[in-house]
Order: sequence, then structure tokens, then C-alpha cells
Amino acid sequence: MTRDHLPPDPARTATGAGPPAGTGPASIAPEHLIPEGEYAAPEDVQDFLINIGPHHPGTHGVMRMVTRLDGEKVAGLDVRIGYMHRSLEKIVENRSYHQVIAFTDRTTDYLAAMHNDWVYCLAAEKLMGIEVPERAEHLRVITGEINRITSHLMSVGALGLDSGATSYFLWCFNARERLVQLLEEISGARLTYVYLRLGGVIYDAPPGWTDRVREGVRGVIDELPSYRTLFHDNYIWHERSKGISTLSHDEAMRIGAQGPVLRSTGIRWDLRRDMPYSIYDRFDFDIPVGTTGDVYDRTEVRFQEIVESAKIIHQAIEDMPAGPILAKRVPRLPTPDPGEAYARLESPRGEIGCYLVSDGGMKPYRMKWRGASFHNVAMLPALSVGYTLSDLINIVGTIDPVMGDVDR
Amino acid sequence: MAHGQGRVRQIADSDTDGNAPTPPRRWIDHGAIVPLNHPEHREFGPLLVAPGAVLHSAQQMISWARSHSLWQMMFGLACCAIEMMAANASHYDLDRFGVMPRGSPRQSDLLIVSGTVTYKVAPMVERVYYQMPEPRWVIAMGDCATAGSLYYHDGYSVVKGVDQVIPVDVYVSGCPPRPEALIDGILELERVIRGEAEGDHP
Amino acid sequence: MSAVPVPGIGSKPAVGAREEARHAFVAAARDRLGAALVGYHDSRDGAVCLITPASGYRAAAEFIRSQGIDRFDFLTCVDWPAHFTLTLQAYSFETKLVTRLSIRIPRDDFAVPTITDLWFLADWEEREVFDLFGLNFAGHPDLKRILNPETWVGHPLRKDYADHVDIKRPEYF
Repeated sequence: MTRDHLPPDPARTATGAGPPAGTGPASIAPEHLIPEGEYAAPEDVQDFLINIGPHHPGTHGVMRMVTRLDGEKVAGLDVRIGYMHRSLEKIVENRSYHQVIAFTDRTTDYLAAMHNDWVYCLAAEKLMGIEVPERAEHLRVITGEINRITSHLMSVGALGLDSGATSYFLWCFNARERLVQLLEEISGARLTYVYLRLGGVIYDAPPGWTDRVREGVRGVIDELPSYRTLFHDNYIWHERSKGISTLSHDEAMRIGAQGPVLRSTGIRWDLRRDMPYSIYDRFDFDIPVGTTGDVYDRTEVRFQEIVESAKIIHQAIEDMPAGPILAKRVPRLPTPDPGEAYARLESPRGEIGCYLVSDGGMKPYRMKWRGASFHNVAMLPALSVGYTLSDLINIVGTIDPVMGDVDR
Repeated sequence: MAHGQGRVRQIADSDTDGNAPTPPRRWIDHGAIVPLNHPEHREFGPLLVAPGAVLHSAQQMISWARSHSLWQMMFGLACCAIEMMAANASHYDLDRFGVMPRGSPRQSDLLIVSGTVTYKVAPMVERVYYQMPEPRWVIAMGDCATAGSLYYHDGYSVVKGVDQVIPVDVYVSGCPPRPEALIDGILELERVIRGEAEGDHP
Repeated sequence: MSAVPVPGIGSKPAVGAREEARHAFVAAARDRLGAALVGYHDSRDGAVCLITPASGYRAAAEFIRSQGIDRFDFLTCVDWPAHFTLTLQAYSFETKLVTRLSIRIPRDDFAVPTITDLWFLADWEEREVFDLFGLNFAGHPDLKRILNPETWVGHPLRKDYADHVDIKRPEYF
């Protein structure tokens, strides 16, 4: 069943207005209406405070949202974070440059561990002037894009779980599991890979791995239409998502939206194309964008990015040269010159960055982690005020926060 | 001889001819009555002594039932929560073991502390634990919940093991543990629960 | 465009529109900030770094914002033995020019003017710097701890912070 087969929906007009008067199920015969003024709120009625979290299945981790409700609508939102603050930046100041990689993929965005290692390696390689071999760049791209697909599948699947579509969550995890096994095959771990090293990657692809990646990714892509039928074209999901939490271009720019949230407003901004790092300038791929920036569009952008990632994977496998996978002459205990370096990268959640300061010693003097989720969660009040409490859970799901990335 | 006439028979007695003992066929040898402290009980639960009849103490029966219906609190903290979700999802399917995720502590028996416990979240972990009705069990999933792991040194905000906050029954190591390891930990917890009836809980 | 000497460390030449934007930005900075601009250089990752005294922080941030640098990257602090360095980075969607602003702050109690009205995201970043380093931001609407509990004692990312649990890690190197 596609969208064309759906019954015409008078409720969702182009402007996102509500149902016309008298058509919805909530329409009440005029003689039953309570006269206006009879139920006017007394002067001393206050807004209703509801605390969500820090432990709540809808917060995708441990985040606390103190909501002020006016009826069922969110009138104010106070987001409190820090429940997963694991002192990454302090620990890094006491470890050598190689040891940090184990922390960046656990402590920060653990759903996209490859990308976190990658951005740290980019910053450290800039600091030390290390050139990464060609084959290692390709392996980084392939594993990174597989990780992006797994992360997006997790994101949309958990969103389905939040909005009641449990079977969709199981489908997504089924596909994700097959891709995770591919990553496990090359890196040895399912979630926290520690696969990247300063100057390359640690393991070469096992024999036949690239073919299995092709098959596995193609299998997932072939299944996506049925996912769309199950969830994205579902009438209930349209009702729950369209016109909810719309975001305009200017507002997105003002509050600094990241990643898919930014692209869902129609801004075609992707660091892989606009400020290319690694070898992304060689690949041909599209940047899916939305129009209104509502919950539906954000989910749709993520869903379509899966296809684009698959395109990149196929091209990178096609072009992958033979050769070394690790740069030579990377010291065991690097002591870069005093200075600073910043690297940024497009992770599944948006733009992440790593700011490294060296004082010439064996340990980083300071590392600042710029998490995409940190900035996305900061704009949550701007997105959700005015919508109902049940929509708030979906809105949190669509900005896809990972608490490790928020609190570090 | 008919089944269930109360004649005690060894499960694995050798033949009269002196052949090797036949392996026990627990569910098929209906006539067998096995001592209650038989190790098989720890492994599998009560024993069927006759068609439709089970010989057990009430306490053992209750603990057997509890061990096979562990309703788990949905409490995701950090990276281990992703593996916990993977264990609950379609591939590993914890529902096979009667472990169902529940949204409310009032409905759950099992708290899986999946991830790093920080000083800021520790009071909430404790509160969720005390909101769960007795009997309740705790699995510390992953190295962080076990002992602080990578954040043991210099991690100023990390509790060095959740057992400083709430009692823990089973520890599962790994960073993060694979779903198989979590399933193994849950099976181990089932053994612990069945052992509680016999008073040999550590 | 006047040729501006670039005393950067390991600066690499940029090309095209970005180079033009960089020249225009630097020229405007010299023009607008005047004596408040202590120096600038190209960092080895391609950002234009402005260095101003602490008193010129707010003016420099306003200048950067007025140049269409709309994308906020981060605001952070580095604890050097003699002083703090407050670093702000932002870049432009249009020209992709990355700018970084650094000021030195004395270690004694010093209130930095807030920039929350310039960039929305600076709100939480300033709270984070306050939490981890104890810098005060004058004029911040809601300056309180963000990552650590509000009852936390001390500012953990200062180099002289004493951990109250204090499990010493052996020195491996």
C-alpha cells in the first residue's frame, strides 16, 4: 500500500492546519456544547508541571525534561542533562594519544563509534601531520557508512517503538543486526569498535568481506520499500508526524540545528559534500532534504540517507586500492608540537568536532568534544513548545539524542 | 509396572547385564522420583514424577516460576543499553526466556543496570530499585556497572561500580557484553533464584 | 585586496572564494577592531584565529557575528598554568570561513561578558564552561551547572582540581 492508496486526508492541508470544523471525530453537536465562559479557568489556576526522566523510555537515555503543561500542550520545557557525564575530557588529559581512541567511541556517541574515532583521528592527524594511506581511507569510509546505516536504523526503529510500532523496531533491528555482524567481522566488536588508529585502521578486510558487505547492504536496501509500507506510509504515522514541530529555515539557522534536523528544513548542508574530509569529494551521492522540517521530514531524511550511504559504500568498494592500511612512522608515544587542531565530520546525528590542544607533551593538554546531540538537545524547547505531551516523545525521538554525546 | 506407584528408582542405574548406564531421560522416565536437591533441579526446574504430577516443595515451585518469568525494567543508561535492546530484539529474542521489558518499576522483577552509573544518576538508580516490588534482582551489565571500568581512574563523575549503590546478584563483564553474554547472565540469575529456595544463596 | 602578512604556523594556502573571504574578513577585522586586535594567524587546520585582550572579547564576538559567521562551533577554555584561554569558534555557511577567537583571562575571579544573544548555542556552552572551569559569564540568563550536579564542589577540568574520590592512577609514562 503506497501513499496513493491512502484515503484523501482533509485534515492535513498544505498549511498544516487542523481539520475543518465539523469533520473530525471530535465534532460536537451545537446543542451539546458548553456555553463559553462557563468553564473559564479561575484566576489561580497554574500550569501543570510534569517531570519526565531522567529515566524514561522516551528520553533515549537519561535526560530529564521538566515540562510545564497548559492542558495537554507543552507551554515550557526545561531540559536538564549531565546524567551520563563520564568525564571524558578529564580522562583524556591523562592518557596518551593512542589510548584516547578507546574512550572516544565509548564515552561519546556510542551508536556511531566509528565516526567518533574518526573525528578524533582526524584532529590528531592534523596535529601531528600524519598522512593516511589510501586503502585505510577507503576502509574508514566503508565502515563509517555501514555504521551510519546501523545508527539510522536504530534511530527510526526506536522512533517506531516510541510511537507504538513495535514490529517496526524489530524489523529495523533485524536489518541492523546483519550489518553489525559485518562490522564485527572486520573490527572484532559489535558496538565499540576501536577500529581506527592514528594514521589508518588496525585490521585489513578479511577475505571476501567486501562481497559480503555488498550483499548485506543490498539486502537491507531491498527491504526498505517494505519498511516504508509498514511504517512511513502508515496513515497513523502520518497523523502523528505531519505538521508536528515544524521548523523554518531561519529558525533552524538561528538555533543552530545539526545534521538531519537541519536538512529536514530544506537546507542542503552536509559536511561530506560542503567541507569534504577524508576522500568524500570523490563519491557521487545525493543529500536528501525535507521541506517543512517536521517530525515526518526528519524521519524521512534519515530513512533516505540509508540509501545514499549504500551508494557511497558501493563506490568505495569499487575504488578500493591495495596497499598499506596504517601509516608508517607513527610513533608509539606521539609528542606533537605545541599547537591546536580542530576537525569536524558529519556523523549520523550531525556535525561533531574535536578540538585538541597540545603542549608538546605525551598527553593531550586539552580536548574539547563538540557533540551534535548536545546542540540538538539545546534546541529542544524551541522545537516542542506548543505541541502536545505525546508529541514531545516523538520530537525527542526525531532529534535522536545519544546521551553519551550530550554529556560526554 | 505402571507408572507412578511410588517405587523409587534410580534414574541412571545400570542394566542387570552390567552394561553402561543409560543417560537420564528426565521427562520421559515418568516413574522416577528424584531427590529434591538433585543438581538437575538447579538446571531445569521441577521434575515430573508422573504424568501430570510434579513432586516439589512449594518454595521450590515458586522460585521455579519466578525464575522463568523475569520481567525486566527498561533502564538504559549507556552503550550497554544498545546491546540490551539488541538482546530484546528479534535476533536474540529474550522473550524466549520469559524476560519482557517493562516500562514501570512497579511491574518488574529484574533491573539490568546497563551502563555507567554516574554520581548524578545514582540516586535515580537507587530510587528505581526501591520502587520495584520484592522479590527483585539486579544484573550489573558491563564493566562500568561492575567496577567503573575505563572510568575508574580520573573519572571524577563515575561511581566505581553500581554495587556501591544497590545490591547486585549477577555481574556480566564485557565492554559492552555481547547479547549472548547478557543471556548467559540471565540464565545464571535463574539458577541463583532457584538456588535461593534451598537456602544456598551466597 | 591588500596583501596581509600571515605569520601563521604551518599555514596552508587556501584557494578561491574562501581565500577571498579570508582576506576580506581579516581586513575588516583590522579596520573594525583596530588596536583591540592583538594579532591573528592561520592555524594549521585552516581557521583564522583572532587574538584580542580580554576586554575586547565582546566587541570581537560581535564583529565576527556581524560578518555573517552564523554557525557556532564551540566555546571552550584551556587551563594554562598562568592564565585561562577562552576560545570561541564559528564558521560561515556562505563562505565556509572558519574563525576562532582566543582571549587570555587571568586566573583570579574575572567575569567574561556573555555572547548568548549572538549565538543561541552559546547558552549551554557557557554553562558548560562555567561548570567545568568556573568562569563567570556576566549577563548570562541562567548561569548554573549543567553537567555536574548543582551541589558539586570544585570545577573538574581545572588542572588543580582534587577528585573527592581520588583513586590515583599509576604513571605509566
